[in-house]
Amino acid sequence: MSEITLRNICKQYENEHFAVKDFNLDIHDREFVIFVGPSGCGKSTTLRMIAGLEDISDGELWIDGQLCNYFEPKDRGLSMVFQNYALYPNMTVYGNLAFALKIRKMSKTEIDKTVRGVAKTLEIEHLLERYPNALSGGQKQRVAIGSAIVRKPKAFLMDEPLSNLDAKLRAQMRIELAKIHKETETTIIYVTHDQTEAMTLGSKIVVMKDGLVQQVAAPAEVYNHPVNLFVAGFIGSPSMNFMKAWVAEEGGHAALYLGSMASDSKIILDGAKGQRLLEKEKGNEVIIGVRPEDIYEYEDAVKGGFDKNSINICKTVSTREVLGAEVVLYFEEQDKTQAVRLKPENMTRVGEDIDLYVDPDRIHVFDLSTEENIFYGKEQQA
Amino acid sequence: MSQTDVNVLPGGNLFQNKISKEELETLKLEMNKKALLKRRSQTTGRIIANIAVAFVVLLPLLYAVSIAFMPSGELFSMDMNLVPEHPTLENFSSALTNVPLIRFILNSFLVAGLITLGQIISCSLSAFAFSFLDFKGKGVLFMIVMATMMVPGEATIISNYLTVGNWGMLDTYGVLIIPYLTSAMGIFLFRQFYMTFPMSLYESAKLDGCSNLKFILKILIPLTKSAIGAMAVYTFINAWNMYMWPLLVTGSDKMRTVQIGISMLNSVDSQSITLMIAGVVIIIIPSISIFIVGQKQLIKGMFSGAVKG
Amino acid sequence: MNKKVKAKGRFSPYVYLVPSLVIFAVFLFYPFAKTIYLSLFKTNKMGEAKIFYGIGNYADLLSSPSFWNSMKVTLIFAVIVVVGSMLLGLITAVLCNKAFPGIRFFSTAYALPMAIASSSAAMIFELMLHPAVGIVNKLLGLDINWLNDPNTALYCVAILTAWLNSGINFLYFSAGLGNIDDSIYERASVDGASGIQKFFSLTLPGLSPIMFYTLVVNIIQAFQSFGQIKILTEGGPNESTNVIVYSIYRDAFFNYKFGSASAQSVILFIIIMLITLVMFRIEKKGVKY
Repeated sequence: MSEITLRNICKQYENEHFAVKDFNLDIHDREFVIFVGPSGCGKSTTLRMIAGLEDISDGELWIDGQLCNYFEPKDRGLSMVFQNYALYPNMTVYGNLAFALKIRKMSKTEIDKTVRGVAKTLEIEHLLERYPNALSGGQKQRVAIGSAIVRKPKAFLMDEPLSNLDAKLRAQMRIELAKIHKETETTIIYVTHDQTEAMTLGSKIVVMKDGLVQQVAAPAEVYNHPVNLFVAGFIGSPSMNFMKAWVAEEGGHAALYLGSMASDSKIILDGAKGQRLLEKEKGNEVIIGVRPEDIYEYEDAVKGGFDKNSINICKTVSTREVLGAEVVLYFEEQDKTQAVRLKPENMTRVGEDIDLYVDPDRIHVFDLSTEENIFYGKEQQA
Repeated sequence: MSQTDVNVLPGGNLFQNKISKEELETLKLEMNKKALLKRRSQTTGRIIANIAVAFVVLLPLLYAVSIAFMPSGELFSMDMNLVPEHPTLENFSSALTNVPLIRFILNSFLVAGLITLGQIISCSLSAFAFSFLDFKGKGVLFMIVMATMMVPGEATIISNYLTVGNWGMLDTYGVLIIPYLTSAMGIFLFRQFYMTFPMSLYESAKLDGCSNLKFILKILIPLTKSAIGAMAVYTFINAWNMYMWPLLVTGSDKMRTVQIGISMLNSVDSQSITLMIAGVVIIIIPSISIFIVGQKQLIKGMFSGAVKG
Repeated sequence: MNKKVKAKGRFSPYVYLVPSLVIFAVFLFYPFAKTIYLSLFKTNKMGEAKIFYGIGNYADLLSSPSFWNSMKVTLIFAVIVVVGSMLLGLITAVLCNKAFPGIRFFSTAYALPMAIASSSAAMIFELMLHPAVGIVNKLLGLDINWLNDPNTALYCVAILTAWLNSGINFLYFSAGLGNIDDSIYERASVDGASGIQKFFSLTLPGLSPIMFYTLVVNIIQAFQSFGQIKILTEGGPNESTNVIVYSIYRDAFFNYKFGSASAQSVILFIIIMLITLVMFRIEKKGVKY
């Protein structure tokens, strides 16, 4: 059982600079919460404040109903996995796993039982007598996770635990972590700058930027309904395409003219979405965002029933990437490289033109000045 | 600890109902104060401990400086007289006139300076050969050089004294300098640094038509400034402070180094303690100044990199 | 014209070693061999080997109470110096381990003794320990003639030497502490370790590689202390500070017993070498990571 609640948590340094500002979050038992954002966004600082390694400048941290702001790290009942593993170099793997238990004055036989149990779960039994410097990166990672699990804490805090591993091992450990979360049935708070990790592991994602929480939601929600331009661009790979467009009314529908009012390329938004757009931004310049997989060829657009919505979007392919199950075409628009994800049957070559159709239901429109998503922004959620 | 003061509230979101906003604010204010006090007292405790220990460590030096300014009459009293009542510079001026202290200082500067320069040259040349060149017996030679670190100076000093005596070299600058023109430690230190450069650095320089000597002068030396700085500070201080060898091989005032010369003040007469201490303060100043100026270099070049593990 | 050829011409690699090797050969290998040679002879006043005496010098030494006294004094001296200087170095390094206002001043202060000559330090201590006007008696309200009392003289020179050697130990230990990863302390605080537990299970073991190195260097250095003894006690009173290096000096340059002095030098060398080898053997066994 663990409920962790953060209320208006702030971290302010002496030079008045806020590393984290007004961080609010409820973490429920057994959740896998991910703090994600670019480096310097305050995600690690927040984690370290929860752990007690950094002072909380303002706000309240509640763990199971107790105000924990001023508890020593050891009194918070949490355990942490560090980015560089932080294994005690002078102790064997066994010693590393047993350290926290020894400090808690557990009996020797009980320590032995627990340590061997954890070692078995993580498949590191054969390493118990080794010293950390004789381990590979992946093995160190397992030992670090093992020493966190061994104490049965209220929650695990993990600070970019996979970032020092190579890509293959990272993918493998990701699956392993998901398994561990299921088996231990413990809350995990996990910090990463890698949006793939965030999307695949988390049951709840907290996207941060410049010390401010941008969006808190389930992975699919963050992906499908990003609240602002930053979240939209940060989550997803290849990232969302952004283009400037002008909003006009045409026959009761909203029309988005790409680039300028004089452009002959436009996208028609009908239905409620179109009305909403007109209501908010008629006559304004906006930023539209479309994920690469939400752009289609003609046949698929006809099937989806939106072949009439995209008018005259014909682009020259500048790069072509075949990824097996799909093909990604790149083209230039408004001096930026944009991507389209199409079926592998598409044979358009570099230099050739292709007509593209955007799924109007999946289009995102952002206000030019606030960068808020007009359809899903904070204002709408409130 | 104060955990027990805090209301233990069940459930996640209920707490806000159980504790009023005002209560929470006062609680936080109080705890903030406590935490700040704790942190402050930790820092203060650390500073106090440091002041106490530093006072003990520096006591001999502070005491020496204080006595150096004390008129000799003032010293001989049974009262506590740690600080001079009537500070005077007289001790310094008589220390400089009673013995040729200036000459000793110049001698020491010359000797220590040349030793430092010589060691940097000879050690970087050798270290270059040991790290970049291939030749027969390289491993054995390096082992031999390293083994010299185990031979204490006392095991050679008698024979060295007899040798230079036979050569008629006693009481010259040469005899003070030449035996110290290289050091195994310096070779080791430089080699440690050179080994961090890839062999391709040397190879590409060679392809560009760079001679070995030019490679050392134009590439290695600029790249190893921190090691050279560290080595220079360390060698100079050690050479400045050398005692046994100069004691044996110098006889005249002309050649004496400061460390030997200063003991001449010691034996003049017991009334001149203050004068002697003034002399000591004068000769400590150069080594301490060089140390303070070069401390950063010394640590960077010698202690952070080379001593790892 | 010739210059170009010269620059391109290949020097033999040995040329670069010549300066160092010549100095080592003339002032280290040769005299070292000569010392061993002299230790087997009786010499005249000029230090020339006159009568072959075999291991006679060694036998004489081993049966001489004065030599054994020197050994005992050296041992006590070395133990006090090594323990004292390492402890002081460790305490000061730990005190400066965390950033706080004034840390730069304090770390300079703690390292400073390494810049001070043994002779200068000895003269300052001579005044501090002066029976009538010295600060030590005044502060402690005692009337002890520290350097003329066989019971205290050795401790005085040993403490002085420990102070002198503590500066470089501070730097060694500071570097050692800097090499310990901060995050293992953080993990330990999350794991629930107290400050004392952290010190004994992380800091000390983390310092152990450098501790061994520092220990070897300190022992060697302690065995070689000379200037302070020459100035403060000249081996006295009653030979109570007659450490082996001083005994070598006295035998060679006052008694002109170069053979015996050389034999003592060889013994000193053997002792230092044995200690070094044993230490490295222990290190290989003890430090596993």
